[in-house]
Amino acid sequence: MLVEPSKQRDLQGLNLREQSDEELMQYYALGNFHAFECLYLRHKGPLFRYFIRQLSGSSATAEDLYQEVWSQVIKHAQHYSVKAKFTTWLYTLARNKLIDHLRHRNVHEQVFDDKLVVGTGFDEKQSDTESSDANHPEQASQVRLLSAEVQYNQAHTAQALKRCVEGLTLQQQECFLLKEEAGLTTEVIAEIVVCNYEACKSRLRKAYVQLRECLDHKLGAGVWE
Amino acid sequence: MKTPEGNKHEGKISALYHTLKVEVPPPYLDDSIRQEAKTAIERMAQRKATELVSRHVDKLVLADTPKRVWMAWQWPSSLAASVCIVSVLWWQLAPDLQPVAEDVSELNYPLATQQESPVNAEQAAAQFSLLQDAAAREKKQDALARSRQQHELELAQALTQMSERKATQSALQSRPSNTQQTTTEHHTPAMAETRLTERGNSLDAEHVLEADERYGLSRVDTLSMLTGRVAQQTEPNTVTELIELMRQITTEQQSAKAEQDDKRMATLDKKRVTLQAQLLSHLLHEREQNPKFEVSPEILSFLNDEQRRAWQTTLKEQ
Repeated sequence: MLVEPSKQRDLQGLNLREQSDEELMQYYALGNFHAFECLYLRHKGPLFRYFIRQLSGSSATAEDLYQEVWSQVIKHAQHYSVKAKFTTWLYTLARNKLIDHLRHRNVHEQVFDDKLVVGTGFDEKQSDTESSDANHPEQASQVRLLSAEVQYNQAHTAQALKRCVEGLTLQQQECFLLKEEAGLTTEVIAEIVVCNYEACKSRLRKAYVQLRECLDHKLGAGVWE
Repeated sequence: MKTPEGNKHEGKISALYHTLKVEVPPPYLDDSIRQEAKTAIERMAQRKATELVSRHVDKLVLADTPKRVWMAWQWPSSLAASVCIVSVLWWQLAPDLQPVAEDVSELNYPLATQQESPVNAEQAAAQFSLLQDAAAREKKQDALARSRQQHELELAQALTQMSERKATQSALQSRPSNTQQTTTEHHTPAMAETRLTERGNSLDAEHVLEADERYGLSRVDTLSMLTGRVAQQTEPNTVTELIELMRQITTEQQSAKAEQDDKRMATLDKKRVTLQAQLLSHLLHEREQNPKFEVSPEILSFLNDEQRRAWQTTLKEQ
């Protein structure tokens, strides 16, 4: 290991779970693999879902992008400096990867005269509800643990919400996912999506309004009772 | 502006969405990313170790660089300085590289030609020949100046001897046999002398004899008239001329003895004595000018006993 023995002893004595993302990244840069593992466990779910929500129906692509982002994190760990929050840097990388992918896919579909999927309304994707369930068997198994009625209601509501999220515009979707999955503030989201604070706030508000209308439409107004 | 109802809906949507946070990356993807992170750490460690070694080597190289730079310019500069010092010493000590002295002698010249290169030998030879030419020119000029001085002395002596010659002529005029052959006034000895004087330095002994016959003078008289001038003209000829005159006088005396002409014999004796005195004075003069001047016994035989003794005495004294 490249870490000096004294530093290594210090790192072993640390409670990595209490360290911030930035500190964990620095420890990893010093050669501590456990710091990376801790960091990875913190962010693997939200980042994966960030991709999979926006690439509905294409989990393979989401996995590829997810791995590419972590590869970049590993690659640039040695030169990482704490100029911003780790999550900001991580989701900036993820967003750039996603945009590159979508641009490439749009060009590819235009060449082959296919239908564009990204940015389409949620009404157009409602017919795909059952087919996309097959892509997430673990979700179905979790749902089975709940009581039958609650299970049914929650599963039904969650699937409806999922479809509604997929029905958001790409800009609304990414702002919503950064807020809900990564737990970022509006300021950080604005920084990641490269827009001003008010625009980002407006996008989020519109996303929530649209989700509420979508859920009303799918589940009826009683869902909010 | 968010209404309380809107906030309530957002909270419910967030809570509802929380139930959807169930998707996680598949285990093989986790393993792949973890493996990649491990490999990256190992590579990083190797690279850092290599950098550490290379940095250490660089430090050593950098520490050694000034010394190497010093060594890089020290050797050529010291070599150049050594060459300069050796060349200066050689130039100072080598005699053939020194400028050739103006008073180079014949002894120095072969030494120089032996030691120097062919080009320098040619230059030295040319310079030496120039110096020789200059010396010869100086000698010539000296000889000319000396002959000019002697010529002037000769003219002065010729004028002083004019009176003596006139006396001699009057004595000759007393001889009727000779004067009768030259009855015309133009052929008088005075006119002959004038003509002889006019002819000057270019007159040689043969011309004098011709003039004697032409103007009715005896050879001995004519020669005796010119003796002083000719004897003073050039030093090597002086003694020769005197000896020649004395030989002529001897011949004349023999003929006069045969004719039993006592008077002529007496005159010739006087002439002979005069010539002997002149010869001795010339010899002494030559001896004064040149201490190494030697006289052959033949020449000494023309002198009388007293004169010979005087000459020997002079030699001993010197």
